[in-house]
Amino acid sequence: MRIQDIVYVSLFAAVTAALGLIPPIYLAILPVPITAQALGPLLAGSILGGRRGGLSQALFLLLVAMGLPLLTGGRGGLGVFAGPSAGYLFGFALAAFAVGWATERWWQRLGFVQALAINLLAGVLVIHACGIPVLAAVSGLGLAKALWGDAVFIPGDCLKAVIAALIAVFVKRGYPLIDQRTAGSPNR
Amino acid sequence: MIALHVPGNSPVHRLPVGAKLLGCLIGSTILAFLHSPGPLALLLFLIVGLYALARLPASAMLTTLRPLLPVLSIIFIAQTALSGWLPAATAMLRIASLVLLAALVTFTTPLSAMIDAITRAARPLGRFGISAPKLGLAIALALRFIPALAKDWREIEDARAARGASRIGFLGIGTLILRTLCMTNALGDAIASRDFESRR
Repeated sequence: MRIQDIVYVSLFAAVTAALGLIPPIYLAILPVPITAQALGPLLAGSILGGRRGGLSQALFLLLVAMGLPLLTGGRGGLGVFAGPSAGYLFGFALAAFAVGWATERWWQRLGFVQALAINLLAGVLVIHACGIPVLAAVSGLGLAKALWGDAVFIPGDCLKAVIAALIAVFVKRGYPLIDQRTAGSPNR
Repeated sequence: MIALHVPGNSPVHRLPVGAKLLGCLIGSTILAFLHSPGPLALLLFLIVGLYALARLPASAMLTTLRPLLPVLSIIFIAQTALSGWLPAATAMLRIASLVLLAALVTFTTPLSAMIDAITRAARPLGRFGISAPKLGLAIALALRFIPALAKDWREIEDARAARGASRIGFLGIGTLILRTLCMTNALGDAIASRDFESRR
């Protein structure tokens, strides 16, 4: 890994952390607030690609585990990895990798529609797929109930996929970091 | 950067980081296998005792558990409706114990000791291409980027307000990222030109 790649990885770990500082938005139609933090893995994957994106979110989780209060609401420490929402956190790293991998594959033709599809299927879906089993196991709710509890977060996360796709296209135009020639072979 | 660490000189504070992390791992494994409320309550009592031994204020436990309250209450209600209040109470006891135990490590360990422990533990990972000095660099950089990003965000907000734009939307994040990416290019060059790789 080049030094510049380490800088990018650190930057997007910090972006996910800084997104946790944005106050949650309350919409009357939803029972839970919309937080910005889950934008982090989507952006990291969309902008850095699979390997660097995934590593950046792993670094973010390491910082949280070290005891920095970086999660929305000022949570942090090893405790959150024992709590009911631990699965979603691991989903951050996996989703960033999946989004990045798909973004590299479709880089040449990447427009808003493609970016949105990638962020929904490889991002939001992966985060929830990681989160639900852990929620079910830790809370003892069982999968079906956990699925219902999870569903209230879906609209907000779809909105985040839209925002991430807009930003991904914006940054692709202004400062592309996934090299066209090496897209598809991230090990340079 | 504000960490969750609470400085102190208690026996818990003085334990080596590795021992604390190992203890936490063993403790949470035991907790995961306990299914009756009696032993769980006993363990929770022990953990609270450790907080007292570490001379942490009771508010430390409250700040740890308070953000969990919404999730815990949903789980409690669903569990009670589903299988009665006893399993519900057991689940509460287990989650509270797990979270408090892990948080105890965080409360009693300074950030610098945690970074040292991580880079030391990462040394054997060298053969998988993860170098400990690079991991240390990545941690240090990220810690520096967080306040820098927060400052840039406020500047972008102020600039928009000065132009009479309404409150900043999520799309301001795009501007923030472009701005920071331009800055990091110079930063990477600066680190590379100081010969970080060959010095380690």
